[in-house]
Amino acid sequence: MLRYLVRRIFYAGPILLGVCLATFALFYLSVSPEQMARRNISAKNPTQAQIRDWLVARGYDKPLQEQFTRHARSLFLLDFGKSDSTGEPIAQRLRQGAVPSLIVGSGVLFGSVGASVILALFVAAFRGTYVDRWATVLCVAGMSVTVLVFIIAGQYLFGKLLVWFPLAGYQSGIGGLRFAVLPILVGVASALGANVRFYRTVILDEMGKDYVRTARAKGVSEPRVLFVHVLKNAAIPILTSFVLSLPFVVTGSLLLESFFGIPGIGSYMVDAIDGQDFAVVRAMVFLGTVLYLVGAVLTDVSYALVDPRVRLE
Amino acid sequence: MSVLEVVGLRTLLRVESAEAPVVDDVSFSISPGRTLGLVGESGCGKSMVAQSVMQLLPPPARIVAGEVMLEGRDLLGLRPAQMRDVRGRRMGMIFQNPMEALNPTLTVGYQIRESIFAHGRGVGRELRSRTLQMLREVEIEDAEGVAAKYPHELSGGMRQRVAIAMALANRPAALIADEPTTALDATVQAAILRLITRLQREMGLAVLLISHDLGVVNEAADDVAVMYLGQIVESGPVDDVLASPAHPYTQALFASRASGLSRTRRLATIEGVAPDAGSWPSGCRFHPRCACAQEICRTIAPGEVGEGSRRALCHFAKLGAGNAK
Amino acid sequence: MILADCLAGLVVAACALALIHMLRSPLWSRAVSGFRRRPGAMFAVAVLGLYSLVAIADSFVLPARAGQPPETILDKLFARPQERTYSAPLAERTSEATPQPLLGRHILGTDGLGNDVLYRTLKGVRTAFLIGGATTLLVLPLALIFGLLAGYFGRWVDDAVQYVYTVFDSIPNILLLIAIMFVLGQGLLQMCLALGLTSWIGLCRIVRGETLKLRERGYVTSARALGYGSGRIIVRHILPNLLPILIIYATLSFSRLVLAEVILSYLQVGVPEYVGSWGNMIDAARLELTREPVIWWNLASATVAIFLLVFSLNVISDELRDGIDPSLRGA
Repeated sequence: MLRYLVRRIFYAGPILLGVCLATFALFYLSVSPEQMARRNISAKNPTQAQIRDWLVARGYDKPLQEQFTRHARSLFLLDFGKSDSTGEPIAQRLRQGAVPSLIVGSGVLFGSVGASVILALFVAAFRGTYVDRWATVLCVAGMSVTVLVFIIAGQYLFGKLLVWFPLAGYQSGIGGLRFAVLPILVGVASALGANVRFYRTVILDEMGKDYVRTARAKGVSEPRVLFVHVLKNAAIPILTSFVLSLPFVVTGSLLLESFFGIPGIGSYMVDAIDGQDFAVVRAMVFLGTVLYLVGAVLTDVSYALVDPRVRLE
Repeated sequence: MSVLEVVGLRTLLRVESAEAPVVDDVSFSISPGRTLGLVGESGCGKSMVAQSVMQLLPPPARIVAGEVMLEGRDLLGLRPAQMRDVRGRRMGMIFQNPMEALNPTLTVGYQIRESIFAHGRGVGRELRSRTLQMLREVEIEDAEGVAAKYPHELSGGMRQRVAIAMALANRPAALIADEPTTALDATVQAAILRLITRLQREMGLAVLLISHDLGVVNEAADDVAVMYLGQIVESGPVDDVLASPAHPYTQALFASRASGLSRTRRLATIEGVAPDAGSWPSGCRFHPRCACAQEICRTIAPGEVGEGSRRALCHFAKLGAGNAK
Repeated sequence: MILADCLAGLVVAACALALIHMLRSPLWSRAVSGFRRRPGAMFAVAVLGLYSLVAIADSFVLPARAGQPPETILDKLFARPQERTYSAPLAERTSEATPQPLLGRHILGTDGLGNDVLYRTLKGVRTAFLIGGATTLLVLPLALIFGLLAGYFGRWVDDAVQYVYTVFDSIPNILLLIAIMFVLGQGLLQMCLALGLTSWIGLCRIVRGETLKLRERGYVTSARALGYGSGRIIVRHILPNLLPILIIYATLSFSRLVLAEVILSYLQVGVPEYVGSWGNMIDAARLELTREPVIWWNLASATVAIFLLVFSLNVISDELRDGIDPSLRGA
């Protein structure tokens, strides 16, 4: 186990280096600092002096090697520096945003996996019947509606017409949870189509395997076949998709947070895009990458927990 | 009095939008302590018979006619929950591929226990001791060690022993073995066959042994039924049928085995290929591949000819001693 | 705009080639003939055909009159007089506090600037096709070349390709997409580039895996034993076997790209506002629901337009997959 972790960290090095180079090329070589400054300074026609000041204040006037060191530092040590537009430390904003993002993000993640797996099991139990056929059509239909429409319609229906939940906003503490309900519901609903379809395929795949027939031949009841035998084997692909979406629990859903006015990391990113804040966008890309790599390790660990055939070597 | 009796079983399989028979008017019966070997080429419907008897058919297939009597009870009239209770308790089944037939994520011990408690029998310590006892009965020495293992940690032969333990854990009256040794090495095959025969003697089981391997049937079965395209074309005591096959298909089947290297246990080819379900020839189904087919074979389906315990489905079947070998 | 026209030409040519290939190969014609018996598939094909007609009509420029901007056939057919402000579908007056008579009839009403909603919705078709088509054109060769090389030659080539896509894959897709668009700025071409750079990895991985499998097939081994060159083996023996997967993947990615455009445009990093696109329509429409009376037709038109296209594409790719290779189900 320890050896496995050490090796994984060792492997992550070159990948992080690659990400570092690719993002450096993207953020520093494909736009000149001057362009950055022009887009960031709010004045219509900034003077040369204004641009110079802006560049000096944010350290974009330094030679390229030095910029690269700073860039690499922020990726490897997660030392993000200061925002280009407001000048406040990015790490502080990320810490503030983490809790709201975590609440909404984990709600969406657990809610959608739970709901999708249950629905998929239900649909799989009715395989080959009209229930199954129409459920599949519904899933494809759900996949074909953009998230935006889910959000706008959800907000309109539950927030404005029925007034079950507040339209938008956020409050810390237990009372604030009611603000999280609608975004979570909308997030779960928008992911349902694709998830149910995927899990259904996974589950049906497992149901066609020989061990299911063996279990039935032993006289095991159908619910037991589904919930014990099939689900345990279907857990691996389900876990993969679960862990792969872990980074978004922290980075938050950009759209959900910005629509519902939740002051999480996601809406910080959306604000940064609006404010042409390069430093924040960079920081978010790094954060996402590191979380992704951590998630990959977690996936392997969880495989080993679920599947006795997998050994972490 | 037979334990398992199948009468006029007919099973249809849906292919595209049409339904075609895959098991057509199949009848047989097995007495306690006896083994019926069901042989035939792949695709002839052997496994479909087994799955029809267990009512474990894949969704595109369904039983449309016949009776499956187990200990005097017609299984086809049972409700699904009743049938579930019969499976694993009064009738066990083992499958061809022990690599795939066990759940990879559950321990061997759990899977055997489950087969007992699925029928609400035994709790706690008793469950555990019966599991270990079952493992010992299938000649696994380190029962406790094996019970804690996962299927992938066992060899193919061991897994098939575990599968047998699961199938027999509730002391059923009948065992259906669908190609139980096909996926195993020759030496292991023999050991598994001996094990099945031994347990059969001890428990007085009626065994339906499905195989494409005549050697296996010859070794372990008392009676044999030869299947071709969904029908049993010949049946009788194994020694009689082997000594003097009456149906041209049976003859060809045996000849192909004899003509090949003596080591080859699998069937060598018979001229032509068995057609798919749904495109079976008219008249006698074997006529396009039959060496001695006459005009009548092309048009009229043969009726059953019987003498003593032997049956054959051929216009020219000569039962009894002295027919062509 | 010239660039967009070139892209449009390329997309049409590629679609035509794909169609010709499909009609000639027996594998596909069997899958396609299965369509006739399925009403869902027929519906999807019909929708796609209709959309294609609109996109084509929006691609041919009529000779411009003096002093007028050039118009496409679509502009000519569906342009309606500009109204003052919102009006409901088929209304005769505007939706103002004091309704004013309209200059013309608008089947789907008008938006806040008085533009005909049907016309704007139809204008989005070409943009969606361009983004879906051009990006797919970028993704296919990229993924094919890298995937084939990695799968066929193995060893260090494979290591290098795998390294490159693992690096790209480690950056969460949406973040990378936004970052690229953010740096490059809004625009149709930028968007195709960004979407292309983020979506080639999935296909590349599939192509690599398939090539690895095909490489070990008997006919490839025997071709090698006969001394055929690698290029010939790849083109004659491996590529044709990859085509079904490629076409299924292309259909599927097309629909994903259409959806991605909407989200990026909402985040202000998509296509610029003067390009008619569904993302921009929804972006503009999201605040209209809070008005009194509710302005729903703008949002509804864009939503239905997107839904029909994406749904049809999804249905078609499902049907093709089932028809060609049921083992790919759920891929």
